[in-house]
Amino acid sequence: MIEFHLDARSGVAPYLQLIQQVRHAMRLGLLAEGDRLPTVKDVVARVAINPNTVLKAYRELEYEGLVQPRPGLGTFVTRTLGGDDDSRAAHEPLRRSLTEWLQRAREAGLDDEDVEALLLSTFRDFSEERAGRRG
Amino acid sequence: MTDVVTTTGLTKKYGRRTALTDCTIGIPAGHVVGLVGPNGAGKSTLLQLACGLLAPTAGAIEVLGRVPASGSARVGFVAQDTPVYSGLTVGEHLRLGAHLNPGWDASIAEGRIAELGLDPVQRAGKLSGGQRAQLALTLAIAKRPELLLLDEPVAALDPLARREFLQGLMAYAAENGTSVVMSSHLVADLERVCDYLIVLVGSRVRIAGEVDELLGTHHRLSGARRDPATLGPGRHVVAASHTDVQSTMVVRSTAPIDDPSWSVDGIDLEDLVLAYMSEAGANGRDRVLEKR
Amino acid sequence: MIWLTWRQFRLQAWVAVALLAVVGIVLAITAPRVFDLYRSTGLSECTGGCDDLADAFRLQASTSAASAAYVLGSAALLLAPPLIGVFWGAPLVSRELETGTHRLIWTQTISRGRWLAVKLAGIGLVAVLAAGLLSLLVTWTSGPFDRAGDFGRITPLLFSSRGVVPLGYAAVAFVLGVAVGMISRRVVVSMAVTLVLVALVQLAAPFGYRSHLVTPATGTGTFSEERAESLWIDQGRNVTIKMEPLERGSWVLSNETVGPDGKTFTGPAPEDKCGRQGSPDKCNAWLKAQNLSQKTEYVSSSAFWTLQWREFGLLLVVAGLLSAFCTWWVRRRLI
Repeated sequence: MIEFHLDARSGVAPYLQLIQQVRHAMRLGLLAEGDRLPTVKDVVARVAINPNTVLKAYRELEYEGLVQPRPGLGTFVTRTLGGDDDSRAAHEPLRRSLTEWLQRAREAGLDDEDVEALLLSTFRDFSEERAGRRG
Repeated sequence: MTDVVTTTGLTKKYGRRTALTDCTIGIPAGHVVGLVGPNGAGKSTLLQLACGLLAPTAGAIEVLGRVPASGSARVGFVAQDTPVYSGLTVGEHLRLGAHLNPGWDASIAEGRIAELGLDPVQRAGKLSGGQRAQLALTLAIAKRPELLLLDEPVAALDPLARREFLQGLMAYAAENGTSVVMSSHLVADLERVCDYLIVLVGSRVRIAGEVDELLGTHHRLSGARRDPATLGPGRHVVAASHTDVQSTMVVRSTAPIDDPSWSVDGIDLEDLVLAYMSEAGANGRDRVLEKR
Repeated sequence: MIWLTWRQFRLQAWVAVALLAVVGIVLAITAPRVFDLYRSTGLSECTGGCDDLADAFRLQASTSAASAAYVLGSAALLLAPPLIGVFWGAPLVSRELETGTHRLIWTQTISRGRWLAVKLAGIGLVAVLAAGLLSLLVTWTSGPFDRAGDFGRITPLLFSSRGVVPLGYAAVAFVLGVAVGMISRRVVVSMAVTLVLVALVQLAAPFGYRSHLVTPATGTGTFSEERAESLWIDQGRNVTIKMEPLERGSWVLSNETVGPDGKTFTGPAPEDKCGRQGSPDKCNAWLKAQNLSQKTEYVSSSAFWTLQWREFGLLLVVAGLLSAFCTWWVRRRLI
């Protein structure tokens, strides 16, 4: 069983925070297939959050095919996240090229903030473009 | 979905002072509704009208399909400052509740008191603010109402007590599907727990709607200074501020704003409410009222 | 609701029980001596012309603690209605309104009308019973004094602290306190106002409506030197004569000494008979010759119980009307 928490200052909608925390726990192996998610009552009693927010997050997770509600029993994880060995093997080369990129950025005179802003905006544009193409 | 509270042109005056003006809203069932506004905006008045402690001066109000009357088994109420009898013990309050409410659920009441670690033989006058609020909430929910009205229940509580109170409230609402309407002059109290919001300023309802919808239809625009009137139709400027070169506005618009001369951002609930409060100050006569 | 009413009233009830106990104990200690004297002087057996026996009883009783207890008992019954109004009636609703607990209690599953009805009936009944108990005790133990004294129990000072009317005053004072508390919404203010109003009601009885509840007897008596209680002649030779009441212990409403023309006799008294050159004998002879008579209006002590029940009935009606007002107010106005 996992426990949720909420960061009010993050600017991320509460239901998204819940989804992210479930996904994160699945990636880290804290939640595996067949595990039960806390009930809505448990979540709201702990986080002091609107029940509909929790329901919305669980619905979204169900829609993504990550969890499955079983009436009267609770909501259960239906698959494992966190990638296979192939994607894990790809981590190392990617990290190396990113380090090289950072090296070049530093040589071009960018400071930490510049790097971060560039990374974020590029990442955002990239995601939006992909989403646009899909939609 | 049916409405738990419906008002039409609801007005309440105390002598010459108007506490609530021409309020027309419908609050759908199954929500945790936040009633926000500055002190003296009419929140208490609206809630007391809804539980029948006050009678309207004009207009009509229906709660759960009926004209509200105090002493209803279907409506639970926690009044401002969470009054309890200081001379009675915690246990005697539960006894009082059991005597006066046919639908009293002793297991809920006793369970909550035990969970909160309250001593049944302690006098209510010796409780802390948070404990008193929890006792008042226990009385209100153990009668198993269909609608729970709470008037500034957490205003006087410290952050920990505030969190504990809301935890208990949400747990009850989740389990029983009870509709909840709670007022506060602080949006932060309500941000997490409410999925429906009513903003009341200067005795008038400024806006009401589901939180997601409100957040989706309000935008913060900033760009080179210009006249808000040039924004185009279908857009309502809630608040605007100008420097000599820049204009910043909070705009309500159901259609997306794709004017490239503006930088468009989302807005959080607190800023949204503050925008409506400042709007009321700027042009009090212009009434924004959004029905679902 | 009955449990809650009792729970919230418990403290006041115990205070009342304690006060009642004090008065009760004092009267119980002194009563045997009173009844001993009543018998030993022969006053208890006397059926007519008992003035001498009465005087003997008073003389012996006045030196004992019983006399103080007699005053205490009567005073307790006169004080009971204001105390009930101030401490039981006034805070009943005003305390709820002041502390905001009315919002707690009226949102339980009970109508405001019923809530008030139980409180009014419950505590009202206790108030009436307490007053009744005290009145029974006092009326019984002060019986010999009332019979022996110049002031019968029909007279204003004693009437309100004997028989059944104290029950009526208790009821009126209680409901009056509740009504005042409801309107003023402040505990201390309502207590002060109630105190004044209850005192006014108690004063209004003898000086206002009580004499209208029975038909007073009118009587005429002949003037005689022995029956003149006071005789006064002022600088302007005006005469004021006050005669003894026709009936000892009755409630005298008016008592005048009139001349043959039926008007109040004022003289003037002649200088040579009643003045510096005159003498008491000459003056008395002159007064006798004036053909004076006594004209008086009074309520006989035999009308005691009739008047008691009538006043009690009137007070109950007033208490009922006040209760109806309170119920209306709590349901319609207090919102």
